[in-house]
Amino acid sequence: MTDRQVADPPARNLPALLQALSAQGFTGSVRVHGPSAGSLHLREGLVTEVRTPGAPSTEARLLRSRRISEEHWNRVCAAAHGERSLSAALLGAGQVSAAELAVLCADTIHDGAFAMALTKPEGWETDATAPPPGIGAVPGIDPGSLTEVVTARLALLTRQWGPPAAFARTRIVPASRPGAPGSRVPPRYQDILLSVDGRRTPRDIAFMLGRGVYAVMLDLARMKALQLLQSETPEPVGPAVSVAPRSAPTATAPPAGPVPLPRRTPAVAAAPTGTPPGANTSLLRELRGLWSTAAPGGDQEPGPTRT
Amino acid sequence: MNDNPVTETTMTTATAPHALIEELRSLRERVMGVSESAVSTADGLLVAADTATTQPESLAALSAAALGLGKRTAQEVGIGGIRDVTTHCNAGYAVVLAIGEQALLVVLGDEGMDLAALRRETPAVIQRLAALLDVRLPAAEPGRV
Repeated sequence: MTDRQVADPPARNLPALLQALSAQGFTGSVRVHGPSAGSLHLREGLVTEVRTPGAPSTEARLLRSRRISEEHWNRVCAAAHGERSLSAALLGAGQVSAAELAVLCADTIHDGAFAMALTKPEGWETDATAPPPGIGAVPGIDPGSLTEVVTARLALLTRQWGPPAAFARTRIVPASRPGAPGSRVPPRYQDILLSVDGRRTPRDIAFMLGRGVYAVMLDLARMKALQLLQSETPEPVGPAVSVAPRSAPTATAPPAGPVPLPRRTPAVAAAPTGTPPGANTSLLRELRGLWSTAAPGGDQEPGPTRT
Repeated sequence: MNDNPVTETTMTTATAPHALIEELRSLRERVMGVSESAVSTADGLLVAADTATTQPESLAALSAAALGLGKRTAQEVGIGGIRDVTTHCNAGYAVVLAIGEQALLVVLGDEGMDLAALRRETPAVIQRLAALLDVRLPAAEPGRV
């Protein structure tokens, strides 16, 4: 433990640690290690931000949902400097209302905590000197309330799909004949159907659409009930890999041992011996004459060099 | 640059590098946020790819150019040997890592990609890919991001 970290209160799990830190009025960050790594930032005992690779950040949700354009976002980042936070710059630009940002920040915290709760943490450490988040909830969310929401979400998904941790790892595939005949698919489901390809997990779809992971998982569970998705996850359809043999494939089995690296080889001959049908023969003769004059060694074939 | 025209490029291998593909697929499974990846020669010829939407041959060629530019820049400004070339954009990352002097690995991921996990995984992945390709790695620690 470095001197930047405070002595962690004894806790049997992460919610208990957050409760203890909340009781202390802790300000700083809690970095969590493990498969669902991430960090939680607290201000005076309240959670103001959760950042994890498992769920989109507020910034990602604003940009991916096209709620704000990249151009506007770059302007906001340029305007945020010194004491002026990203939140203040964002609100100052008038792109997002204060109420909208507050709702989004709160949902991002709930969603990040939900994503981190999908697997058991391997450890954690606190840092009282961590800088405040660029976009954080004001005043923040009570850790007890956060734990209750996450627990309820996990329970609901367990009822609707099954174990949420396994669900989160599932690569979703659309049903071959989606929906009942004549059924109408809501636009939100259509967006998800356009995103599922057998490679993406619910988390990947959430990032792609700029939505929360929990909201996407809930929609996927409902879509499965509507037979819009396949209940099991088969191997990705078709070759997920594109290998580009540029020579004709042969029927012989590939040799065992190391894969030989492809090599560039020179062209066969630059000057064709025959004349294609309909070709301008006088122009070809002229070009051949130019080529034999320009090429080193007269009319010899070009050497094996790359351009 | 030679004036002689080289108008056609061929690859001399037609083997399906199943083990390479499995390695790339496994990387996608292990590191959150990795979406696509490819292995190419240092001069941009595609060897194997685990891609869905990206044109793998273009990715291979551009990655080779990016790595070459990164190496040349590092050499010019004297900041030591290159570890990787990372392109960080609003909606994701492209990370190019050398596999010795002859090949490279490019990894694409969304903006939430777990870079810490990628840092942990890539040295071993580079070692395995180098063994599969029979490429010798330098003595220094390979594949650091």
